[in-house]
Amino acid sequence: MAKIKGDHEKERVLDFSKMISIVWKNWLVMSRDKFRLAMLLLFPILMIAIFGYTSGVTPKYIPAAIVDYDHSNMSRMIMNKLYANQLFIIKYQVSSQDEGKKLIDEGQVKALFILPNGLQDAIISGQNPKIYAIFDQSDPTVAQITQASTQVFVQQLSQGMAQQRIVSAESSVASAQRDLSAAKQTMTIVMDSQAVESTMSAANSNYRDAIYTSSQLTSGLSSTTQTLRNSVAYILDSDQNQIVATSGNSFADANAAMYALSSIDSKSPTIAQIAAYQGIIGGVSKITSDTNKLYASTTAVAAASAAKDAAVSAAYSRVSSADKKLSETMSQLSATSSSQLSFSALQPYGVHTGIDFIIPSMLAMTIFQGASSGLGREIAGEKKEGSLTRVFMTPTSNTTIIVGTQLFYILLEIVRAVILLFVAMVLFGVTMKGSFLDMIPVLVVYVMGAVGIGMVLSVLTSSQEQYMALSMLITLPTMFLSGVFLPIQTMPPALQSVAKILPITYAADAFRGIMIKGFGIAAVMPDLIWLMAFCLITMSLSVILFKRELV
Amino acid sequence: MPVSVCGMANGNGEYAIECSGVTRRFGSFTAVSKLDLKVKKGEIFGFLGPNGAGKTTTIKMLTTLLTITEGSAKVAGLEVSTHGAGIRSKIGVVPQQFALFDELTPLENLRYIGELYGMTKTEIKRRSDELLKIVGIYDKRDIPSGGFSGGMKQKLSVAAGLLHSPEILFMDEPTTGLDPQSRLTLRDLTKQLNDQGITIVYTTHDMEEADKLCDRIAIMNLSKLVALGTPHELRAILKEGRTIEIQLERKDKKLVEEAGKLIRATSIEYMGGTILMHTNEPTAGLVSMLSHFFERKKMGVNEIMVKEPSLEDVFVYVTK
Repeated sequence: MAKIKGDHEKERVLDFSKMISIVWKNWLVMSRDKFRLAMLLLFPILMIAIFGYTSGVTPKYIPAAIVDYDHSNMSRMIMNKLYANQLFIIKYQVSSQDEGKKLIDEGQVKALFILPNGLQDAIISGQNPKIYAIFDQSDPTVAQITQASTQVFVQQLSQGMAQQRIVSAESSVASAQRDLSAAKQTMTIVMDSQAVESTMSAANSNYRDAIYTSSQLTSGLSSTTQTLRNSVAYILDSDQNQIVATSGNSFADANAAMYALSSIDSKSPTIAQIAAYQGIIGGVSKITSDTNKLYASTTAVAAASAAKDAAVSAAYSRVSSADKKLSETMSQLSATSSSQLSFSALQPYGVHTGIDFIIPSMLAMTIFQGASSGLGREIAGEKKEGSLTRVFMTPTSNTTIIVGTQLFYILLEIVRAVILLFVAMVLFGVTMKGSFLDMIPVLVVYVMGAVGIGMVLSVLTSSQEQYMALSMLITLPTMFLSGVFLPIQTMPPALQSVAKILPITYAADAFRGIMIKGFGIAAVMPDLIWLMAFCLITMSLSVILFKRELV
Repeated sequence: MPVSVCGMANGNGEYAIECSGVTRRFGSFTAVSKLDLKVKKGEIFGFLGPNGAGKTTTIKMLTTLLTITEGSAKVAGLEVSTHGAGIRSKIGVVPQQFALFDELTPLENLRYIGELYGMTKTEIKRRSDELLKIVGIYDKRDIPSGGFSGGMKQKLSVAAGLLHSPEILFMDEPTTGLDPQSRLTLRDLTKQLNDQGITIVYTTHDMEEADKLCDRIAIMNLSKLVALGTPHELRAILKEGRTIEIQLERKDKKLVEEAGKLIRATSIEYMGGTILMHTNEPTAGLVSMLSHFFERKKMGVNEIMVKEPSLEDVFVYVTK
């Protein structure tokens, strides 16, 4: 008589040894199907190889044609640049736009560059010169890349032209600076008013000297004249009483006296002497008057000179200011020409290649795809083939069945993730800045959640075919919204908000944090919390929805 | 020493299964309606019925795969609605489909099922060897079962159903799709298991099989139980009707109709050269009465034979 261990009246909610049996069975089933096993393990390698070799590669040697309507030095220069550029390989130089378009239609070239008539004039006159291009739109990706490459090329070209302009502006400024400096020198000489001033002060002192000397002379002569006149008056007085007593200070009086004296012969030498003095006084007086006039003239000249001085000084300060501004311009120009603004990425997280950024997203995507399709497919298949019925016939709880099955897929996905990482590291030198131990909790929680989705889907479907259709409906959009193929930021806002609730987004973020930024588990906690919520939801849903009833 | 294949029926009472007013609805559709039946311990109980009659739904309810909408059922002395786990450990199921894993060998398949029943490793090993010998695929025990023939798969499935020594074994159309040789082997195996005391609930479309194998048969139609009894009892339902097969040397419709009147035939059918007359008259004397009639009319007779009703006739009769 066969005895069965334990009391089968009850079944444990979580029977660990039965879960191990389920894992063991799943492993056997999978390992016996060598092809499927190989596909499962090769899939991550294939993915990583495809992404690794296709992403982050800049396009080169895009076949292009060119048509030059301008036939100018400038257009030839641009053409030469196009020939020299690595982005494009100019395969044809055609004579018309139509001819070029035909080449695009035939698929010979992907782009046609058109250098329009008047290009050089436009460049020289500083209008907006334009180069036109036609791209092969039959392949939007190529068109996009080509367009972007053209943009880069034109940018480089226009930068080069701007550079040239700066250089020529520099030389003009330098020549203007030289002119200004000469002008300043001349003005400095003009403004050197020392000569005028000393002349003026010499004139002043000479004037004072002259005035003083003439006043001394006049007063000396006057007193001598008075003395003489007094003596003449005395003589007259004793000879004849005709002499009119005078104060003797007037030339008229003196002249009258002289006249009177002239008639007195005896006294004539003295009179002649007086007359001579009188004459000298008159001369001195004239000199004084002239000196006064000379002084007035000199003062006027000095005033005029001062005004001129002020004007020159004002001009000088303006010239100085212009010179200063020119030197500023010059230094700006030379700074612009010598120091092109260039971009250099800092690498606080270490040096990374494009694939470093893709790997975390890909990891998230591969796991999601594998976990959500593998398990559900298995369950749906077992449901259809009846082996699930057989399991239901045993005293094994739903939770044990679900968790046991999930446990296997969790282990499988972790193995796949490790393979993916290993291949990425070996093939593409992907770096792992953080600790793999920190990856484990994220991996486990995420895989459980994704497996839960598979479980929920399998409940909703009754065959593998139905399951595959439904899971495609979920995994494909998820893959495209995961940011692996297209950056999330470039998506329409509505899709972005969808991407923001996808678990794959958070898993990728957490993986990126740990792998690239070297974050610890604490730093990716917000992601992990979201993933935990996701896991809890799908796991609960799968337990709630997973019914033993098989209709 | 005989090999034991089943657990001792240790429940109290004489019935392995008792259904009372068992009803199952899917939305507005009633799959099984007010089913009342009892399966005795140790009998082979057959479930017959056309597709969609409610057999499989009934089996699913009794094996705890489906809940009962109304009514109650006891299996191995336990209430189905409350003792699912207990029942599951006392019953074995051989489903319609293989329902095991192609990738695994018979031993691995049995090991997996055994572990889910909570059996120990040594117990599983011992029972597996025993059962694989009984069903006759012991020499294939280490070959993945995906390559097995339908018959071999079904034998493995039976072994899996018996692994934990159940009191009751449910076999859901186990011979469907098998070749005649395999059917025969499986039928013999079922008989052999039953001889050792295990109660068997057996569904099939094969009337002959049911007739030969089952102690009692329930016929279901349109979600209701329409007939229940031993094959003999079921045939008795048609005791009023029998068919006489006649083959004459030449055709003579008028003469045949005259003969029909003689035996009060309820209907006459022509099937090629064979004439089928249905009558409610007692069998005794029918053949001689007809032979004499045709002799008198100078009509050569090749064969006159009275056919007793088959289970199939009963089936057709109760399900039409």
